[in-house]
Amino acid sequence: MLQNFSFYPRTLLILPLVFAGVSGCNALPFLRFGHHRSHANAPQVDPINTVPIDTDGSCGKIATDRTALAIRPLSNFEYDLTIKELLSTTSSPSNSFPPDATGTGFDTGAAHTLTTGLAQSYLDASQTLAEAYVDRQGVVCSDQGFAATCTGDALASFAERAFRRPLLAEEATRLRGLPLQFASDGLGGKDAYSASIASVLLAPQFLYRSKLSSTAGIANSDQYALASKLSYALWASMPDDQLLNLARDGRLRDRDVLASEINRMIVSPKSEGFLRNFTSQWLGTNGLAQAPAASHLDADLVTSFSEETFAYVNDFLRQNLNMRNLLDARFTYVNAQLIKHYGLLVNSSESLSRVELSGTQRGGLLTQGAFLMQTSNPDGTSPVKRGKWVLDRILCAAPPPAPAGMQTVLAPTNGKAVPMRQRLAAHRATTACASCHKSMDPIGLAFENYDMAGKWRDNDDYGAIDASGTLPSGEAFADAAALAQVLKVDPGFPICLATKLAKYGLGREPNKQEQCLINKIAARAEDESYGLKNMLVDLSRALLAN
Amino acid sequence: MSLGTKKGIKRRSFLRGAGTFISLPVLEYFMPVAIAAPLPKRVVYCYMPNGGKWKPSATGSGFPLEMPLQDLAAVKDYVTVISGLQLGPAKSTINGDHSRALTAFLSGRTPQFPGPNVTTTIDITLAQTLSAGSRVANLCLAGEEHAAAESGYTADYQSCLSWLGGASPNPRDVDPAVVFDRIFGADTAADQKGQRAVRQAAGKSILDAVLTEANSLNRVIGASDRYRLKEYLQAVRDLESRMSIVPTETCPTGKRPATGVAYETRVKLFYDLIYHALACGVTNVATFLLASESTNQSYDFIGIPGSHHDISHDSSDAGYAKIAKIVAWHVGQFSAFCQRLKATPELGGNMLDNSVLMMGGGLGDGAHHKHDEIPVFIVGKSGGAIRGGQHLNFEGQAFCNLHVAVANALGVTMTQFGDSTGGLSLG
Repeated sequence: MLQNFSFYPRTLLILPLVFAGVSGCNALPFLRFGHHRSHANAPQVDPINTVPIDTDGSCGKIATDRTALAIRPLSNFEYDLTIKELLSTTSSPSNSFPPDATGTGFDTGAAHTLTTGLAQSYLDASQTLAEAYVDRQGVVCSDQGFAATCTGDALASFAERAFRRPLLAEEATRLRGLPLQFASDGLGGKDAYSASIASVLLAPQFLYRSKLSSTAGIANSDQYALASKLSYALWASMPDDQLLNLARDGRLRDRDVLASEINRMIVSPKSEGFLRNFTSQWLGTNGLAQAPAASHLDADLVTSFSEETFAYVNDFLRQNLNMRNLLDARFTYVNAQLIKHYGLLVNSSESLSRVELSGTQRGGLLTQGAFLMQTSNPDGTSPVKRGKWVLDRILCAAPPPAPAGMQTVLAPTNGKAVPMRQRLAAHRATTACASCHKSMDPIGLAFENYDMAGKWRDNDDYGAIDASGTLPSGEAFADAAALAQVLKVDPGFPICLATKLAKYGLGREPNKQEQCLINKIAARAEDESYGLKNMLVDLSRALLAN
Repeated sequence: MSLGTKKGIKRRSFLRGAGTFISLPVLEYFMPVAIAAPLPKRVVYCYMPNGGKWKPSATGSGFPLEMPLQDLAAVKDYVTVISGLQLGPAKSTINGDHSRALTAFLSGRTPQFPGPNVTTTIDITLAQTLSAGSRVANLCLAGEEHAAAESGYTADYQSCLSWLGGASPNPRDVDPAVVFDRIFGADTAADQKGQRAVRQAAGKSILDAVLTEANSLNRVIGASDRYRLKEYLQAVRDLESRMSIVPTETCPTGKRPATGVAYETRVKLFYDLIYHALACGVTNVATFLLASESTNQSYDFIGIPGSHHDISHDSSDAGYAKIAKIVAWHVGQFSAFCQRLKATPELGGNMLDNSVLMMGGGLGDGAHHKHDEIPVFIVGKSGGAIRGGQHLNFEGQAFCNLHVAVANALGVTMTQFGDSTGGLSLG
C-alpha cells in the first residue's frame, strides 16, 4: 500500500539540490500536492505497533553506526536534565557552560570537544552540585554521619546510577575507597564525601554517552548502551530503572519489549524534555529573544510566544494528532498576555491554557507569534523572510541566498504609498531573483494580515490587505488559512519533519537506508489517524535500536 | 633554528627572487633578542561580521584616519592598517560566503561542506606558546549565542571564530558573568562560606581521581572510543597543571556583571574582561566574535534600526553609509579597549608595546560578498617588531601572510599558515 505513493522519487530530490548550494530555485520541485486520504480507508493504528516498518525489505539493511559521533559528551540540555534526575535538584548548571555547537543541525549532533576551559566549567559545576546535594542529604551513615570509613557504599550506588550501568569490579573497588583517599588528602568527612560525588560527576563515564557507558566486562553492555540511546533521544535524560532492568535482563532488543518501551517513554511526561529541545531548534524558538523585532517587544511576550508554540506542538504528541494539522488546527495555548495581544475573545487565564480558535483569524503554527515575529524586521513585516522560513522549516527546501551584489533592500518609495505587494513585484521582474521569489513572496504575502508582532490587521498603511496569491505550481489561495490547506497536503512536509526528528535522535544525518525508512514512515502521515506519537514511535523503532 | 625553518627561508628567498616582496626572515634571523624578551606577548583577534570598508586614502606614516577609523586617533602611533589583502579560502562558486568568511579568517582554510570540519585556527596555535604558563590558555568570546545556518553549511561556521580543528569549534562564552568567573574564579556558595581554600584543595583531589578513572577505563574500552578519552585526559591534565598557576599580578576582581544585558553593554563588558584577563596575566590570547556572521543585530542604539545583515545588502550609498556608522561604533569600542592597554604601564612602556590586537572581518564588501580588500588593522608593537603608525598596502597578497607576520612578530616562528605565500613586512 505504501509503495503506491508516486511522489517518492521526486521528494528525494529536494535535499541534495539545496545542500549543493544551487544558485537558483528553478530546479526545486517543492510544493507538490499529495492526496488527502479519507478516514474510511484509514487503517487502524495499533498503539503499540510491532510490525516492522520496512515490510518488503526494500530499504536494505542499515549500515552500523560507526561515526565518531557515536560517543559524545552530554549536550548542555541533556546535562541539566540528567543532573535534575540524578540529584533531585532544580538547578540548571549549564547556564554557565559555553553554548553547544550545532553541528549538523541539532545540539544532539554537536561534537563539542572537552577543552581545558570546559573541563574547568564542569569541575566548578560538579563541586557546586555535590556540595548542595550532600547538604540536602543530611547524613549518609546513620551512626557516623559522613565518616569516610562508611560512605564508600553510598558512593558506589550513586555512581552506578550516574554511569547508567553496573560498575566494573575495579571501578567499584576504586570508588568505595575514594572518600578515604580524599580524607587522607586532608579533607574532612563531609568534604571528602562531597568531593567523591563531584568526582563521579566529572568522570568520563558520566559526562560522555553512550559507548563509554558500555564496556567490556559487563554482561549485556550493549543493552545498557541502547537504554541510554533511547532515553537521551526520547527524554533528553538518563534511563530509568525499568529500562536499566530490561537491559540487565538482556530483553531490551526483543521486538515487542522494545516497541512497548518506546511507547511508554513517549507517553511519559519526561518526553517533554526531548520535545522542548527539538521544537525550539526546529522552529527557531530558542533564538526568539535575539530576533530583530524582539528588541521592540516586551521580553515576557517573546517568552510567551515560545511557550505557546511548544505547548501547541506538545498537544500533538500527547493527543496523537496528525502532524499535518500543525498547520491549521483551530486551537492554541495562551496566557492573559497573549489573549490580550491576539485580541481573543476568550476567558482570560493567567497561566498558559488551551483555547479553541474557531471563528477567529487564527489557527496553526503559522498564525502564532513565534513564527510571525521571528521573521519580521524591527520596523515591519518581511514577507520574504516569512516565505523563506516556511520553505526552510516546513518543507526543508530552503532557497539559496540572494545572488551576490543583488540589491536586496526594497526600492525606496520616496514618500509615496506603495503597497508591499507592489514593492515585492520588482523581484519577479529580474530573472535571477524570480526563480526563488516566485515561491517565497506569495507565501510570505499570505501572512500580511499579521503584523510584525503577530497581531491581526485588516489594513496596512496603504489600505486593505490582499493576502491572496498563486504558487509556482499554479495553486491559488485566498489568504493564510487557504495557504495552510495547500501546505498541509504537500508530501514534503511530513518528510521534512520526520527527517528532522530522525536527525535529532541519531545526532547525525541519516544514511541512505535510514532515509528510505524515514520516507516510508512519513508517507504514513497521509492517514489522518496516524498521529505524531505514531510517527515518533515508528521512527524510534526503525532507527534507534540499530 | 630548525631544519624546517631553513627550508622555509630558502623558499622565500626564491620567491623574493621571483619578484615578490617578502622580508619576514629579518625577524627570525636578526632579532633573536626580541624573541627572548621576558615580557609576555599577547594577541587578541576581534571579528566584525557582514563586512566593512576602511582603506585610508593614503599609505605610509602620514595616512589619514577617516571615517570609520577616526576613533583610533588616541592610539594612532600603534595602529597599522593593512590593505589589499584577500581571503582566498573564503572564495567559492557555491553559496555560503558568510560561513566561509568567518571560518577562513583565522583558519586560513576553506571549511568543508556542509561541515563542521576545518583546521586549527591561528589563535589556538599561538596560545600553545604564548599562554604556555598562563592559568587560562585562551578566551573565546562571542557577542551572540545563536546563528542561523547558511546555504546548507553548519551554523557553527557563522557562530565560531576559533576552532580546535576537525569538527570541533572552540567552546565560546556568550555571557560576561561566566567570563568573569573564568577569569577571577567562580563566585560560589563555598566562597561565601569562606571555603575557597577547601574547594581548591578538593578540586586537585577530584582531578587526580578522575584521571585515574579515565586511565583505567582506557584499558577496557574499544580502540575507536579512545580518542575521546585521550581528549578528556589531555584537558583534565592541562587543567590540573594550570590550576596551580597563580597570576603574578594582583587582580582587582571588581563586580560580577549581570547576565542578560543589552548587546551594546555586552560588547563593552567583554572588552573590559579581556583587558582584565590580559592585565592580570590570566591569559595572553583571546578571540572575540563581535556578532555572528549574517547577524540580524539591530543598532538602534546608534540610530540604525534594522537587521545588520539586511542593511549590509543595501548597495546604495545610503546603505554603505549605515554600515560605515556601525563599523565606526565598533572601531570606537575597540579603540577604547586599546587605550586601556596603552594606559597600563609595563616595564618602561605600556601593555600595547607588547601586544598585537587585530580587528577585521572576512568580507571586504558585504553587499557583494567580496573576499578581496579584507578590512583589517592591528594595534600594538609586539616588543618593537611592528613599527605602528602606518598604512601598508599589500595589493593582492594572501590574508594569511598577515597571520604569519603577526606570529613571527610575537616570537612564534612560523613559515606557513593556511594559504600564506610568505609574510609581510610590518616594521
